[in-house]
Amino acid sequence: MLSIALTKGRLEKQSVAMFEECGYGIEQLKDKGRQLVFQDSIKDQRYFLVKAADCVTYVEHGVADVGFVGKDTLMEADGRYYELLDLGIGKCGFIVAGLPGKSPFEKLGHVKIGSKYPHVARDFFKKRNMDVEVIKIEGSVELAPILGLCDGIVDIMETGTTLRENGLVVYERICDISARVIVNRASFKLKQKEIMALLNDLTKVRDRHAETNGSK
Amino acid sequence: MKQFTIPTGMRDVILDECAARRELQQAIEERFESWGYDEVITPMIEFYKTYEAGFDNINEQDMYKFFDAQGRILMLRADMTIPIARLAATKFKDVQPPLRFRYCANVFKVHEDLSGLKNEISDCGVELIGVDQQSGDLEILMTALDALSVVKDHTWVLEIGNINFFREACRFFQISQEDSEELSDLIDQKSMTSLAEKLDSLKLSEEGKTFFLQLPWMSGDREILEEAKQYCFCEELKEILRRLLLLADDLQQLGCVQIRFDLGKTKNLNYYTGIVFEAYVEGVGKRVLSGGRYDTLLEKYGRNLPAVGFSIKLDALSQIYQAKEKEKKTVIKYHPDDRVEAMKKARELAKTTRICLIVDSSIKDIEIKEETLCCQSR
Repeated sequence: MLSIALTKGRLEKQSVAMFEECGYGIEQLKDKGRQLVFQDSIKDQRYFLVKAADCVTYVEHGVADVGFVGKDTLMEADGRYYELLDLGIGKCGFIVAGLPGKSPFEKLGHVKIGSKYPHVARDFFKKRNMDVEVIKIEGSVELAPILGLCDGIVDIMETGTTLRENGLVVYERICDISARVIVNRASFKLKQKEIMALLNDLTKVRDRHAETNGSK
Repeated sequence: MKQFTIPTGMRDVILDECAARRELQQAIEERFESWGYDEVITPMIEFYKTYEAGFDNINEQDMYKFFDAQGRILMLRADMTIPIARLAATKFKDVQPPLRFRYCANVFKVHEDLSGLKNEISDCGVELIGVDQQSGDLEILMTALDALSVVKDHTWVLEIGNINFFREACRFFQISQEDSEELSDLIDQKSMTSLAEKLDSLKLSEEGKTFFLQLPWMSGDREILEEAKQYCFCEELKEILRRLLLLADDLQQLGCVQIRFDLGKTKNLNYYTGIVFEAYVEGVGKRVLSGGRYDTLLEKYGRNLPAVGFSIKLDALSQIYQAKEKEKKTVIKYHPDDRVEAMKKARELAKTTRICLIVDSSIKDIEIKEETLCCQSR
């Protein structure tokens, strides 16, 4: 029996669609009701929906064997697990943005960076050998430089519309992000066959998607 | 109101948990004793520089540190291998090897807040000093397997790798210390996407790239060792595989079936120099045993001897360990005036059974009966 933790929200629909393409019995997942745990009607596995950061925690502790979670969350929360597959969904990127003409990279003196991802921000500027003060912001990060709380932000960007609408410009793309499959270390040893079968199914679906997208 | 709590990462172990842990500890220690290991107890506090000498690069933020009266840095021991290496190289410097030591001790590491990890860990382990890999590796694995046999009714598996498999490959391709550390982290995490990106940036030959990309997947039964042969591009790697296969065959002959191999075990616990191994048990998300060979560590403390050892994580393993049912208590109720008589009876009964004394001024005589609910249970 495999327990699979799925991230609620943005990734949820796409993850469920992938399972459907794998030919799994996910009727319950599509029609959720008030349930919290969903049994697969074909395979010996069950699913549950959790918040992104919790997905990592559940997998690390072995409560879930497998987790679907964005690379952004993995980068923010360092943990011990295996990261075995790029699902190719939920694609976006980490960027550094700020007001036009006021690049945080060119500012002399004390630089303040606002972010929902303080670890990612700190690591990035550390690698650049820049001393910056990172301020944790919970939401609407775009607002912070406009109001003068900070000189720049580190955030995820999908299309860039929100940034443009707020008059911010991208100064640097830090890295690409997409959803990943993470696996508990002990589970990988004790249930390797089931986990490899799941990974193979998902890889096939992902590659099929990549092909159709490529031919468009 | 004043609140009294315990520091982050610490825990109290009480009642049944405590009983299960003690029983497990005794069962394991008994196995170690039978394999000829002598118990040692080392101080909980060591000099920081002792640890600094043992590790190539120590994560100082992970240690509990403080000062002594002369301003020297002290720390709570972070493992037992370093203290035993120090002990073997100093107190036992003139003793003919092999040395076999066992211990059961609490070790301390600082983990991030709210990560769910414990900062005080009970380790129960052995170190086999002065026996080289040829015979020492098999002996230590047999000891580990025997100790794990105290776990019943649960599937478990012992996984073996060799840290040199990765190291030799890095040396062959002349990968810098910094890059190889990053690679080792990525391979250890089996972080496939980031690994591919990193390898692209290193501009390795096709052969090298394939090797490192395959490494995380070289995990499974004995067959994966055979499969791994095709990726070996130099004699050193083939030799490591040959030795692992030999070990696999020896273990098979000995009837050990719960064995796996993982050549992607690259985590730089940087004193390891040969085989590394870990055990996992169904129902516990973390490893319950870990160990490896460290042939260069003792030299740093003044005595050049090969060594290998492992420790069992009591906290993790006791989660699934069922303690034997405790025998019932004999309850002795007595009036305060009868205290001397009651204690006389108690002294007699306590020789053979567990007792529980209750003072009750509402009764006249002394009442003795067996009860299921003892005074501790709520």
